[in-house]
Amino acid sequence: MPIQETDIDLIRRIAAGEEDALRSLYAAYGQRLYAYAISRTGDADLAEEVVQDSLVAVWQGSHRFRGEGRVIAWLLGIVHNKALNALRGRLTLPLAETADSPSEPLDPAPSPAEQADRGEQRRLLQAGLEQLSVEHRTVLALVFYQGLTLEEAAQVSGCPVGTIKSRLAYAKTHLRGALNRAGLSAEEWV
Amino acid sequence: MNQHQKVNDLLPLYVSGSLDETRRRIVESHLPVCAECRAGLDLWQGVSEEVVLINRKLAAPPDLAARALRQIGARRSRPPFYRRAWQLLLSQVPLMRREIWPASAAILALGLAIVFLVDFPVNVIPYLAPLVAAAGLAVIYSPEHDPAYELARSTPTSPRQILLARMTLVFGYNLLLTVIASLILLPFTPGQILGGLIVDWLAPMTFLSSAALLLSLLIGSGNAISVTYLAWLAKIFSDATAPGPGAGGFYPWIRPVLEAYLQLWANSTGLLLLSAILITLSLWLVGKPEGVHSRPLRA
Repeated sequence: MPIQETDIDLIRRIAAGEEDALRSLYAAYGQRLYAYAISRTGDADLAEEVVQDSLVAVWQGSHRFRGEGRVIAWLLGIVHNKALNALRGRLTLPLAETADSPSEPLDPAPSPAEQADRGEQRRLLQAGLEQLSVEHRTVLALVFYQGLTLEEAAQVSGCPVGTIKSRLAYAKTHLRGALNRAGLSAEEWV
Repeated sequence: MNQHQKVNDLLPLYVSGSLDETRRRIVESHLPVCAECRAGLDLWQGVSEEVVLINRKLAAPPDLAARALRQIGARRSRPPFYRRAWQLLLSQVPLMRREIWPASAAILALGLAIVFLVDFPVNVIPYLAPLVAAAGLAVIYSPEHDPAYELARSTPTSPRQILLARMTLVFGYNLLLTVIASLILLPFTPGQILGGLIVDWLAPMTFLSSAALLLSLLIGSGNAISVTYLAWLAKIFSDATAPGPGAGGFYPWIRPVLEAYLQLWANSTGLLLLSAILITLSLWLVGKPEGVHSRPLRA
């Protein structure tokens, strides 16, 4: 059985100047970094630029990675800062394009009526997510898509853990309100 | 914090699978007895599904790592800073007005000739040097005097770097010429040291040059030269009249004005600080996206 290369090994190889290691890192995390860059910038071209700059920063700063946290949190922190720099002087664009596309059904064999209900529920939830600020959506993406802990999310966003908690609480209240106004209870999700 | 509140805070992490075993069990033991937390769990599960779906749809371009490596390679092959700076300086020499160089040297040589040949009682170099330097900086950056102005604005070198390079070249050249002139005069000025001679002209020359540079960007080179020369001639006039009793006799009100004006020119630190501000303003002006001159180039 081949020994699986750890993230730390990859970073060490990058620090040693191995270009293949940077390619492997991108193969492993590129999609997540790009998704995060999109969520921060709201612009596909700018997100590409941000990820490319982040990879250059990883190459140049890999020797500074101390291995105290997970590599993904470190990478997302770099993307976060690069996105902030890229957005300076530009208008922050909304994330509408990411939420406009139709959702795929999760249940492999739902009935047509169930499909219609779920479609409506998802539409409401998507609309609720769209109404959230970039900062609130970012926290949701860091926790649910990137799988970060609250401490890691705080480290990436450069804010206290309490702020992450309060953004989650706000998002919950907002989304629950959106569903309640439409007459749907949270239990209908199951 | 009670158990309900604690579990409520942990629910997002429970859904995302980021909880350790201990906290996961705490959540799982609380859920069967708390309808509110179950509702919260349902909501977070729905949110999680949507967030994951939205993010998974975003396909990253496959070549970003290759692009980053190309960018890294390009940076590696860049020459070091000092060599790039030197190349920039050299590249600007043929793009500037050729007559700047001989004109400056000729005027200062004329000043020396006056001192030596005519046996002029006053060292004229401190009076001439600021004028020469101001005229030089007034014509280093403008469409009127730079045939390659539009070309220069379209190159990757920023206008600020170009201005800085030209300013360094012209001011450095004039500085060098004036130091040489002061060195030539040194044996003939008893009781003076080179430092003393340089102090006489360094700050006024820097201030007048930086003022000429900024004004040339704002009102054109010709006007900039006129304004700075008038300011300098006013200083010379004040030098000649303010200290003596004559001015006070003719125009009693003018004496304090002339003295204040002279004090401004005598404050070397103040002049150098003002120069730094003027140069910063000039660099800011040329770096604006629309450039400093909105009028079309002359044919």
